[in-house]
Amino acid sequence: MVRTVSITLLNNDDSRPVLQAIEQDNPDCEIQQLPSLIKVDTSGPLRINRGSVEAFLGRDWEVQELHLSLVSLSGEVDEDDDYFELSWGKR
Amino acid sequence: MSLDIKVNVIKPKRQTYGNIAERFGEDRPASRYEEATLDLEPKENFHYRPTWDPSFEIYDEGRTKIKMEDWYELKDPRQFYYGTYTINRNKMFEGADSQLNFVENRNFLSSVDAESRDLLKKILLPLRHYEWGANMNNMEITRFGSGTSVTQACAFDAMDRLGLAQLICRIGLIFDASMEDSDEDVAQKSDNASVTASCLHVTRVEWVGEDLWQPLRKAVENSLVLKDWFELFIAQNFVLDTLVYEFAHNHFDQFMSERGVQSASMMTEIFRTWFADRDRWVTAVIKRVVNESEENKTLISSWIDEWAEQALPAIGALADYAMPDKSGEITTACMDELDRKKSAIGL
Repeated sequence: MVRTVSITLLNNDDSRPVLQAIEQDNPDCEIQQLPSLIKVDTSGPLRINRGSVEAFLGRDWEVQELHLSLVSLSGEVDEDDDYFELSWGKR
Repeated sequence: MSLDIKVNVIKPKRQTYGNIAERFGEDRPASRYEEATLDLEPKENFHYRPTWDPSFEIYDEGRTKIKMEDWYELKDPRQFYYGTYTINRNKMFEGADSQLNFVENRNFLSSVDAESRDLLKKILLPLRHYEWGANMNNMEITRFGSGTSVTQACAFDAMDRLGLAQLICRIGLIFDASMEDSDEDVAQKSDNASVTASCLHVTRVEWVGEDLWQPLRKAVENSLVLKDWFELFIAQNFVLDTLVYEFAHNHFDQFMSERGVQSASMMTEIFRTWFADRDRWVTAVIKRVVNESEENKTLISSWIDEWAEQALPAIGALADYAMPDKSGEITTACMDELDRKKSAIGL
């Protein structure tokens, strides 16, 4: 059975560049725009790269800033200075 | 009894303004920057030509020789609109303010030897007139430029320059205060008002009359009367700023540090952070224009060379005065920096 990983962000100006980065780096993901939330589902690992977010945002961005607009997530988290990755059973 | 929470999603009729969706080719959510920037200038249905210059329309694209298919391509990588700009600059200038307060409260400048202090005053303070010229020039670009994406960023830049000029004034006042402490006689002899601004008065006289500053003043005044707004952008924001900042806030600053005047670097730190920040925008704008066409490329290249030639004697004069032992070396280093940035843009 394929377990989906997902991340839910607030639907606001801060998370828009993050979403653009997710769309660019994870072409298979499925995005649901809800009035106040954005939910992203995908079967594979879901990766948010710092470099991509910075390119869309136009300034330096720390991966921890993600938590300011993070509502919910499912999957095992692998977080580093340069990326934030969700997946199931990587180890 | 089980409770079933039903979610009722009301789909918004549109995600963004019509003109922006048209530009994107799809109706997707736009960022605040995009909504506050794209297509803000009216393009059609002007009833009258401006009475003050009937040869052009309002927002006429023919005010520069540069040709762009779409001027809104010249986006600001920092994505500044009014809100983000003011928040960002508030933070930046508060930092500068606290650094100046620190230097002032500890009275660091009174411990600087007289020779270094005079040199620092001589080179640093007249630059407030240079910053004011940069303010005027960016306002001019805001007035005649095409596309809100570039004109709004220039308006912000103009305000930055005014702020920086004020910071230099503030440094002048700190100099005066430190003099007052070390030389009681001066304070007693003259009334307070003239003492507090005395070194700024001297600075103005130097900027207008002293040989040291005339080449730079000439370059600034020549730029003030430029008609082509994009040439003005190149002259001010690329050529003059690169050379002046490289000289004053990099080489001269290092030189002062070597002489043991670290308080100078503390007071001018904001100039370096500010310049690094806005340079991303200047480079991005010029890069995009250069990539548009061969004609733009040759035009910009010739403008840069022309203005570098004008600015060279100015930097030379300053380097000769401030660092006579290695003035040739410093002038070459400043020109090399300009060349480096030029090739980074693709020229």
